Formats: sequence, C-alpha cells, structure tokens
Amino acid sequence: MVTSSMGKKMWGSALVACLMFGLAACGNNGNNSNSGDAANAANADTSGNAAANGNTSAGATNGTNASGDAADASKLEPVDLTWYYLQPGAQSDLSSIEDAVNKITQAKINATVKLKPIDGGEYNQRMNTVAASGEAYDIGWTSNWLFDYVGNANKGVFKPLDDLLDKYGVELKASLPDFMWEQVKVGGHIYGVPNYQSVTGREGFVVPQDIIDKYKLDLSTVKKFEDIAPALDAIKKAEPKMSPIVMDRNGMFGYLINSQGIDSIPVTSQNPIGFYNTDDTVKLFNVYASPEFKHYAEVVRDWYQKGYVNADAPTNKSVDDVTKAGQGYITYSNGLNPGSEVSMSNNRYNGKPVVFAPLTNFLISSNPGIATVNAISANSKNPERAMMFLNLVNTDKELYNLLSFGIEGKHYDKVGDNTVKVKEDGGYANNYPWVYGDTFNGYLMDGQAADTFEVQKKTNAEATPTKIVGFKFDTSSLTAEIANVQSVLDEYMPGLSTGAVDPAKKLPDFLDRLQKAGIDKIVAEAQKQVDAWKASK
Amino acid sequence: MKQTLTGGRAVVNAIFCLISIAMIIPFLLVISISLSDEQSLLEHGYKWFPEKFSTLGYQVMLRSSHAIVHAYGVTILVTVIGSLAGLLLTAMTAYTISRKDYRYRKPLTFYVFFTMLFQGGIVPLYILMTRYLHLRNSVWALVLPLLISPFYVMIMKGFLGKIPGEIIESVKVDGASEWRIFFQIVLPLSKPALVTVGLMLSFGYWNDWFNGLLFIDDPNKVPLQLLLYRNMNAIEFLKATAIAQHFNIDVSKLPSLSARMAMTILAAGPMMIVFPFFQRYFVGGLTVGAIKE
Repeated sequence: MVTSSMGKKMWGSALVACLMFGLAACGNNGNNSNSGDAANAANADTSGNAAANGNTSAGATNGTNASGDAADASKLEPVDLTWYYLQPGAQSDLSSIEDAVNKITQAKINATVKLKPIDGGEYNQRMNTVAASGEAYDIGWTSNWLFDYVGNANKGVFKPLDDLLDKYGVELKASLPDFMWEQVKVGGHIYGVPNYQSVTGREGFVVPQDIIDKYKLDLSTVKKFEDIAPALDAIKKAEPKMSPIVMDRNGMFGYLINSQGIDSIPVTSQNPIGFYNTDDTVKLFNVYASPEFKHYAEVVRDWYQKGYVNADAPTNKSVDDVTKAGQGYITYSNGLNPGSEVSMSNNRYNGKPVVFAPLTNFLISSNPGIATVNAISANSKNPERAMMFLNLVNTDKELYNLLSFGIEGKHYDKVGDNTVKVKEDGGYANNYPWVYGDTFNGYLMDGQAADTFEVQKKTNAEATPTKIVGFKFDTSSLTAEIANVQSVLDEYMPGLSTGAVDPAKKLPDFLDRLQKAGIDKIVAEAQKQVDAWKASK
Repeated sequence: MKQTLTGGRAVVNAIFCLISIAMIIPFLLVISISLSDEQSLLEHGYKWFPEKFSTLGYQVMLRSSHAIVHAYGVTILVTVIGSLAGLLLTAMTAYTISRKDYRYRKPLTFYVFFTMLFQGGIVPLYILMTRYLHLRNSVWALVLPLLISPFYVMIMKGFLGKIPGEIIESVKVDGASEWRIFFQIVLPLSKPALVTVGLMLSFGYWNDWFNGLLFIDDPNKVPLQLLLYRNMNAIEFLKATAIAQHFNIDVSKLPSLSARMAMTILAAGPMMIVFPFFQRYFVGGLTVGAIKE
C-alpha cells in the first residue's frame, strides 16, 4: 500500500509539473521580445566593425561607384553574407538561384550570399528568436506587418544605415524618391532600405464586368459607398438568390474609411482612432463614436435586411471563397492600384474581368514605405559589404530579376519585351518580388499592362499623402488597452460592420465597452505623440 | 474470457463508442475533402462523400513528391534514432534514480524534476543549439532537444521503483555487474513501460515541427510535419494579412483545399498504421502498475 500511494503521488505531481511546464513555456514566449535588449546591449561594442572598416577602405575611397566597378572586387576580402527573408513555401530549386546570385555578387563585390528564406507563418517567431539570440546574420527582411520594423529598430536590432548609405549605397540612395527615405526613419535615423513599389491605396468597389453589362450599371455615379445601393437593388430583384455585395466579418467600414472623410492610425486590425482628413490640426477621436460610423452601420443594416449582403458575412473570413463559388458579385478593397486588376480578378473572380469603381483619389497612408524593408543586423560582421549588396540588388536589374523570377527558360518564359510568365512547376515560383528590392526594376507579370510601372510611379508621385505621413505610433505603453480594445472590436464589429445586428440596440453597448476597454487612453497617447511629431517637423 | 453485457457496461461502451466516432468522423471528412474536386468544394461546401471525385489534390502534392519523400526520410530517421536513443537514456536515468541504495537519489530526482517546472525557454535553446553546438541544419537539431523528457523519466522511475530491490540484491550476490543487471534483468522486466515510453517518444518525434522551424533551413532536411504545417499555413497567413491586397499577391496559386487535406492524409497515414501494432503493449504498460496494487 505504501508503494502504491507513493506511485499515485508521483503521477499526481508529474501531472501538476506537466501543467506548469506548459505555463512556463508560454511565459517564455511572451518574454521573447524583451530579451532582445540584453542581446543588443552585448552588441553595442563595435570594435569589430571598426576593424572591418579598415579592411574595406579601398571601397570607401572609390565613393560613388564602390559596388558597380568590377575592378574593386579584387581589392575586397571575400566574405559570406546571410540574408533572412520572406518566401512562400519551399522552393525546390533555390540552390541554383543561390549559385547564379553568387556568380554576380562575387564578380561585383567579392561576396557570396547565403539565402535563408522563411515561410510567412513562421517568420515572426523565427526572426524574433534570431534577433533575441544575437545571431550574427547580415540582412533581415522586416516590415510594419511582420517582424515589426519600428519596434525592432527602437530595440537596436538593426544597424543605423545613414553613414553606410552615403559611403556604399550612393546609387541606391539616389534611385529612390526622398519621401521613401523619410518613411524608414526611426528617431531620425534610417534603419532599413525600403523596397520601392506602388505605395498608394485607393478605396472603392470591385465589380465584375459581366454584371455591368447585364444590368447596364453606371459606375460613374458612385461617389460615396451608399451610392452603390441602386446597383445592388437591381441585381437582387433579378437574382434573388445571389448576394449582390459580398462582405467578410470585418465589413466595409475599415476598407472604405477614407471615402467617409476619416483618416485612421493603424493600431488594431480595425483601426479604432482617426481624424478628419481635412483637419490640419489632426484632432484624433474614436472613429466608432463618430456620426460617420453610425450612418454607415444604419446603411449596411438596411442592406443586410434587404438581403444585399451575404447572410454569413459576420462569420465569413474571406470574400474570395464566396465570389469564387459564384454566390455573390460586388466586393470592395482599399488597394485599387493601377495594375492590380489582374490579381484581383484571379483572387476573387476566377480570372473573369473586373472594373474598379473608386471612391477616393490615390492615397498614401502614414507608413506605406515600411511595408517591405531590408535591414542590416546590428550583429552583422560585414555591414559594409551587406550595404554594397543591398545597393546591388536595388540597382542591378539582372540580380533583382534572378531573385524574383529565377532563371530564364527554367523558371520562367519571356512572353514580351519586359513581361514574363512564371512556370508553376519550375521549382522556383515565389511570387514575392517585393521582398528583394525596388520592384520597378523587375519584369512585369503576364497580363499586366506594359506601362504598369510608369503609371504606378506616376500615381506614387501624384497621390495625396495623409497629413501624418511618416508618423509612427509607438504603442509600447498601451499594450493592455490595445488588447482590450481589440477583443471588444472582435466581439462587436462582425455584427455591426456587416449589418447583421441592429445598431440602434448594439451601438451604444459597443461604445460603452470601448470606453471601458480604455480607448480614450489610446486616443490621448496618440494625440500626444502626433502633437510632438508635428512640433518636430 | 467472455464478459456478459450488463447495463453499466453497456453505458460505458456506448460512451466510448461516441468518443471514438467523434474522433473518426472529422478524419473521414478530411479524406472526403482530399478526394473532392476543388470547385465543387467551393460551391457545395464539405460533404461526407465527394460530390465530384478528383485525385487532383494528391497529384498536386505528389508533383513535388521529392520534397515529401525527403521529409519522410528525415522524419523516419529522426523518429527511429531519437526513440531508441531516447528510450535507452530515459531508462538509464530512471533506473539510476529509482535505486534505493543510490546515495544521491533525492537530489538527482529533484534535479530532473526541476526541469519540468522551469526551463530556459526558446532563446537560450536557440543560442545553445546554433552558437555553441553548431547544429543548425543538422538532423541532430531535430533529435537532441526531444531526447530526454523529465516527464517520461518520472513515469519510468515510477515503474522501475516497483521492481523489488531483493531481485537486484540477489543477482548482485550471484556476481552480476551493474551493466548486466540493467540490461539483462531490469530492462526485460520493464518491457511494458519501455514500450509505453518508447511510443510516446516516437509520437513526439513524429509530430515535432517546432525544432525544424527553428533550426532547419535546408529544404532537404525539413521534417514531414513542418512541411504539412507550412502547406496548411501559407494560405491562412496571406488571407489573414489584409496587406496581401496591397502587394497584388495572387492567392489563387496557393495549394488548394483538397491538396492541403491530401497532405494531411499523407502525413498522418503511417502513424495510424503503426499504432495498432503497439497498442497491445501500450494498454499493458498503462495497466501494469494498477494490477500490482
């Protein structure tokens, strides 16, 4: 009996231990971001870099074309660079890309590059671990939506590039418009090289061409989101089983917020704070307490009751599935950029032609420039060479296209002067050209108009930037409030924003809960930071 | 030995039947989806029997068959090496701390137990593996972290503790060395516990993807579950990321629903076939302690 009760105890404590073990593991996850500081403190010592500077002084004196000149390469010590970046799935033929890349880089900057792609779902976890461990990698891809650029720059994960750019990245610096460099500044320093691309957004509806023809829709009269209602009505009358407009659980409000006169600051998945986009003083407020949101909620409520909206909208995670299955027609987006008709039609309408009905001009939000950035690690042993490499990727079209599309004939076919068709089974079809560098140096995808890049560059230059372009909201003191607000949004927005619940009943509840969750504190802190940011301009 | 079906027993049986059905049904649904035509899935949703039969999902997965074959190879290798080595080390540790005549039994037990409560966490693990052991991209990075689990050591110790000390004593008197006692007396006596722990270890290895995620870059060394995890995640990731719209990513080119389900079947398959063979021992291992009470 004694032994058996001992045995039971053992099992019991083992069980308890097992639970504790799980908790401890969670706690550690949460702390990952903090441990980065310790790792970086250890790297503050830059003596290693100083030595490396001496080695490459030959390159430095050449100044303007340190990287372009093949004669330089022989004077440089051979080095190995590592580059972590985002790639969808494993590409089986990556090694032949790496070989071809190294042929170019060895000739031009006497460096080889080890490509270390990481899948999207793993990127945050993996890169946070790499950064916190103080690993000596050279280049890491970062952004404002994955492996946070601003937060990590503040923590010292990345090297300030101002001097390196002036010495080894002269061509690169000149190749991008100044506002892009403004975008990547954190605390006055540049910490990363932005991958230049279409930086604009435009809000509006996406309408399949066959519906326009069938119902003789006149999209030119659609100036506000509610102006689409007559079209919805016409479709509903003729095809009562279809959903004239398809929404997901986020509804339209956040996507079409600018068309309602409000500019928002990214905080949570549905941005809860904003200001009127004509207001020069940038007075922030809770957007859900605004008359605009009330009006929106009432309009979509009416739509939902009339059957314009797909009935499963509050639980639907993706509009694509509904439209692809042919159960609905009109959708909406805030990314109606020139050239995006092709991907929009493939993603949502099985390749059927679509027409955009924009509600706004082309817009530039506060931080489109940090949506895709390559930064040099603070632990890099060869930051000079890494800079030369980034300079090369952003200015050498051959290298850029090699990384983006692979090897001609093997991974893609040329179907036009500057247009390619990627072979799906070629072993390198990664579809993420914006990860590597300046996308305007690349080939066009089959189906994009020949002047796509010119048009995109032009819209970039002519677009209306938000009044707070370049402002970066530091949310580190607000984590609890943001999490609380997020959970209130998750609870109420699917119903209110799709019209599934009555705003007369639920909206007051929603606002009350937001209040309790601390939205006012977020507004106040954001206002403080915006005011300070404005004063510093 | 036949048992009559009394009322109470019938209820118990019914409950377990329901639990089993609850586990089997989703799996059948996955099989059905993996054999369905993509378009019919979008139009009619999931069905118990494929609306329109199609093996395209499997064709898509097998088109990149060398990735799957490699992943299988890696996972099998890691599972076999890891389970055998892990089992030996677990048994040795457990045996040592179960011997009542071992002076440091208590502190050592506490030392093992302590790691169940507190552990270094991911970052120190990552630093240790990459910077000190230099095991990045090595199959050992998949084997070592799971080699000894304190939990299994404790289970094993609980079992070995019940082997009467007198047996060991008497063999000692007959002149057997410690090694011989361990390998020829103790191990054969603890077969049920070994099979139980061995099975749990091998499940651990078979289902592990996290170590692969942290330490493996080389596409030829990716374990099976990580491959599955990636396939399942790629679409979710892009769809959850509204920014995908900005980048004009063509989501239509990502693995389709049926292909992902086909991958699930391919990854889960072998373990389901292996499990019944061990089940006999597994049940034995779980109940041995109880019978002795």
